[in-house]
Amino acid sequence: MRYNSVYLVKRIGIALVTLYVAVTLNFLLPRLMKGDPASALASEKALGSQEVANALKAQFGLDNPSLWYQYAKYIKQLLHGNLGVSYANFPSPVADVMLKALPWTLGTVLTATLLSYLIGWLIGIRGAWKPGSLFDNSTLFSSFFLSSVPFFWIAIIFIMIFSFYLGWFPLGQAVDPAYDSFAWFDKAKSVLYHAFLPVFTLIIATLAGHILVLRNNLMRVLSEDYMLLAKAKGLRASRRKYMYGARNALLPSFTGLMTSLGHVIGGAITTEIVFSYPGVGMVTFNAILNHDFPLIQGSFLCIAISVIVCNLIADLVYPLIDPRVALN
Amino acid sequence: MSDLLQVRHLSIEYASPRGIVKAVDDVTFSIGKGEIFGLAGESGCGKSTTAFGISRLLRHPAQISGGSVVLDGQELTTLSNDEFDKLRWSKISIVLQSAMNNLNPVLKISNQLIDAILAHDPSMGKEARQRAEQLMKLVDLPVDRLDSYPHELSGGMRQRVVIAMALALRPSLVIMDEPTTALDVVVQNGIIRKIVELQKEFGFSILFITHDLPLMLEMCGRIGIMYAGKLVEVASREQILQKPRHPYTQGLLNSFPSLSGPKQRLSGIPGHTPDLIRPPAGCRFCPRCSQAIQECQTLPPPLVEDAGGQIACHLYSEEGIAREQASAACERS
Ligand SMILES: Nc1ncnc2c1ncn2[C@@H]1O[C@H](COP(=O)(O)OP(=O)(O)OP(=O)(O)O)[C@@H](O)[C@H]1O
Ligand SMILES: [Mg+2]
Repeated sequence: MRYNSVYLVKRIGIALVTLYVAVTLNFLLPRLMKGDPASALASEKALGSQEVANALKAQFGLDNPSLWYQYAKYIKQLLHGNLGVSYANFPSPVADVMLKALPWTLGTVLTATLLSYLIGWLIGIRGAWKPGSLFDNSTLFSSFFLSSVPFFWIAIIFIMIFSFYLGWFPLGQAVDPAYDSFAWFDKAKSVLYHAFLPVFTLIIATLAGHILVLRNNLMRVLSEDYMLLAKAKGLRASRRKYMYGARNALLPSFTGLMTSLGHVIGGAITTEIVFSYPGVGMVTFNAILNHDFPLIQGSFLCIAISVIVCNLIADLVYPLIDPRVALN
Repeated sequence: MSDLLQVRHLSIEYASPRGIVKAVDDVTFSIGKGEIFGLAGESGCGKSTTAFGISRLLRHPAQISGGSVVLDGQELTTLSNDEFDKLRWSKISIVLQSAMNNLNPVLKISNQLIDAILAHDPSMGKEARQRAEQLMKLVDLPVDRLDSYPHELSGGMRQRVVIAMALALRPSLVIMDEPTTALDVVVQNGIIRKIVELQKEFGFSILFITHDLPLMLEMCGRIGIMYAGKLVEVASREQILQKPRHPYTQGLLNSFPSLSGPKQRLSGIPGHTPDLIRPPAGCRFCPRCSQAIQECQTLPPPLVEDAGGQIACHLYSEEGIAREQASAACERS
């Protein structure tokens, strides 16, 4: 292990403080808006039930005007995993709505993010290793083209071609309407069939950036003296390419990867809307449209947690892969 | 002393957008077994390019356009890349200029020494570690530094590691391209002394490149002076110290206040180096030469071998000498 307990404690401490600030902001935001937070977070009209609204108000201390009292109640409910009740999905609690959407988002956006980085890195490495080759030139050209096209446009074009004209893929949704009556094998097939185009689109849309960044980094690394020395020493091309070249070129990209992973949960709103895919992005979007404050709060919290956790992981893993990071 | 390395009519070009840069043009010299041969000259005169050409480490867009390199009786320019990869490091190794970027920042010193050893002799296995420890001792570094990463070592220590690495397979020729330029003078002296000591112990030859002429005059037996891609003079240290012949060599020597004086940039020769894409028609040094005669403007002086070494200057060709004598006689009468 390269790091000491001080580093560990410090990083975890920073993450916890950040989390606390995010939670507090989440509490304050609805209260900073005009109007009455009680009616925003436990609206009788939106919930359609006087009793439910009153019960919620009691739970979250909204019947008491003291902000500190409300804050204490809010934290207490949060620690019990209670995020309130979604208006639009009444009577489902916010936590249930989020948990239902989460697997769809993780399955598609996470897969797409990981694959996109992996493929982008491999293409970038191969291109930089033989700059000016046919492979390099064609991937470079495509990357410049793709990175200048807006993402939603790619998504719409793909739906038009692959779903509408060719009919290879569904127009949207995560599963077949008759999904519940399927056997497990058909269920799996239906999920994959529906997920393919969103994942593919996400990969295509983000790939170019990863290719260009890694290619640039590797080109810079390849011109370093230690690369020349590695060749002079007689090292095999594969060792030079990966242990000397790519290993160094990937270091700056690692933080980018972790940041992207942190944004997986909140980050694919456009994709999910275009593909009417019922993930967290879609839920958040609808919550905003419906003024579903409890759900907006819940979604905000999820995004904040995932960003903070991924940053923490990045901080803890980075010293293991780059010995130069100072630990104190 | 028999020759270990013979470089004959070596020419190296860079294809640049403006045209072909003749960075090394028709260079001929040889290095004896166990000799320290110095190559000096202003920045950009082609010293590094010559070194990389000999060890076939030229990078695009550089290319050998002619000549031959013979090491220990073996012609190197006709070897295939695979053959050269095997020969390099076991017979010719190289120490590069920059102490900062010579080592891979993410690998421990031990790994970087051992992978050089194993690349040429995979059967070494566990012994490679012992060999690495011996190498560390050789350059006066503590063995436990093997487990350090490069950034944990000072610039001088790193350069010692690189020297140890260069000696890993007991090569017969070590090319050192400004091995101490990036270091301060005290550290530099320690390393130079170490290099000379190791050279005496193992008897390898060194091609030592620097633009620090006083340093070179201290350690090299013979010295080649390069100017704008051309080798203009090769002579023994004594000869260069006592009677430098080429006007450029004389200018270089005059640029240094004293042999033990502080290190400083070359100055003292007016003008600047010529464009290597369109070099002067005659002698490349002619525009800056205070002793130029008529031929110098039109006729490139060939590198000729004589009792004093090798010299490429019309002043020392037969006609040149005759003319000098004639003018001297004129003055006398
Ligand atoms: N990639 C390149 N393209 C075009 N010309 C180049 C390239 N690399 C080097 N040169 C030219 O080749 C010539 C010789 O360069 P080289 O690096 O061998 O000089 P040097 O004598 O080692 O100089 P220094 O003392 O600064 O290290 C220079 O004039 C330089 O302009
Ligand atoms: Mg150089």
